[in-house]
Amino acid sequence: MTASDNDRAKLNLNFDDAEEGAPMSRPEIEQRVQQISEEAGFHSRAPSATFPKSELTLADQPKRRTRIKTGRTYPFNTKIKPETYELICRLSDEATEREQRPVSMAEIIERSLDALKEAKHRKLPNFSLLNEGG
Amino acid sequence: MSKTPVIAFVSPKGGVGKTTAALTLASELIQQTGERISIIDADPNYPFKRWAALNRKPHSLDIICDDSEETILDNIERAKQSSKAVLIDLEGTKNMRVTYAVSKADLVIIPVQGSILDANEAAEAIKLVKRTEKGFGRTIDYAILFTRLPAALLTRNFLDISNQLKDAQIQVLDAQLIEREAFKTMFSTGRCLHDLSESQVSGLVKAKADAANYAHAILNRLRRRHTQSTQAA
Repeated sequence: MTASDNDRAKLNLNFDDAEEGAPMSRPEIEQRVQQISEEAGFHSRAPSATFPKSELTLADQPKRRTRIKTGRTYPFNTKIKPETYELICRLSDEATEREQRPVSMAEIIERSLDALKEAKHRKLPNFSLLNEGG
Repeated sequence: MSKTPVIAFVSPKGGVGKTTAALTLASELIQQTGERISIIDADPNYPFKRWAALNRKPHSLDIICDDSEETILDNIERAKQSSKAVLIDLEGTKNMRVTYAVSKADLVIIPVQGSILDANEAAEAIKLVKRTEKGFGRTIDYAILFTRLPAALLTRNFLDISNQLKDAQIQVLDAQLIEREAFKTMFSTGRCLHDLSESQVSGLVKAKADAANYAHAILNRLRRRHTQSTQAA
């Protein structure tokens, strides 16, 4: 079968205006569509108009405590032994008690690293000399 | 029925061929009437926006990208002012924008593939049309369009569904869309059906014949409904 124009009448799109029903206002149309749609299970995706809006202004908000800036902003997540964790916690608690200020676990790790660096640079005795001539 | 027919392609199920059916109809109407046609792309995936971005669409075809249920009524009115027919391609889900489109439609086309799952989803669309018709006190014509049918033979599933629909007095369009490469090639090339050449795709003659039958079936329904509404007025 071919789509030859000889086979059938030519299509035309000329229709007279014959609007049905009484004209409706836009709110009426919307209200009716919403009712029909919800009943048929065709739900709205528009954000809910009844969402409660906060009446608080910025001035009404309670002033927040100024937090201590530590400069520690980089995340560091790793697995350690339970005893290592316990040790860091204990050192943190002891330092907090001793210094009368919060000493975090991060600070304990930093201090440990400082101590490690210091130990590395400290000149250690050359124990092998002790054995010479022995 | 208004002077400019509004045809909505509705199915709560995606992938049934709404977009293909809309573009095929637009292609045929432009080819045969030479009139300006609008397609409202009311699918959030914007298949027509992407198609038009290939810059090969005919000048007489307007693509209007619709945002939401809040904008579709305005877009339909605007399209009716500027063109001779308005086709609305909707998203394959149950959302309120579909109801807005149906409330303004003269004809609702419900594409269905030959599966019982599609037929069940189509029933939801028909219910919506019936409710909208009742709610607005105006007749809204609808018809099932079988799409993506295998070219070789009609499957038992298709025949079974077709008979069930007839028994239930469901309106079925007097034309079907066969699964053809030419319909897919429109989307890969950004062209309308009649702008494709035989070198681009095989079976173009058969696809054009299908498109012509399909467009005639649609316009026959519109004309029949128009006659009824004129007599009633």
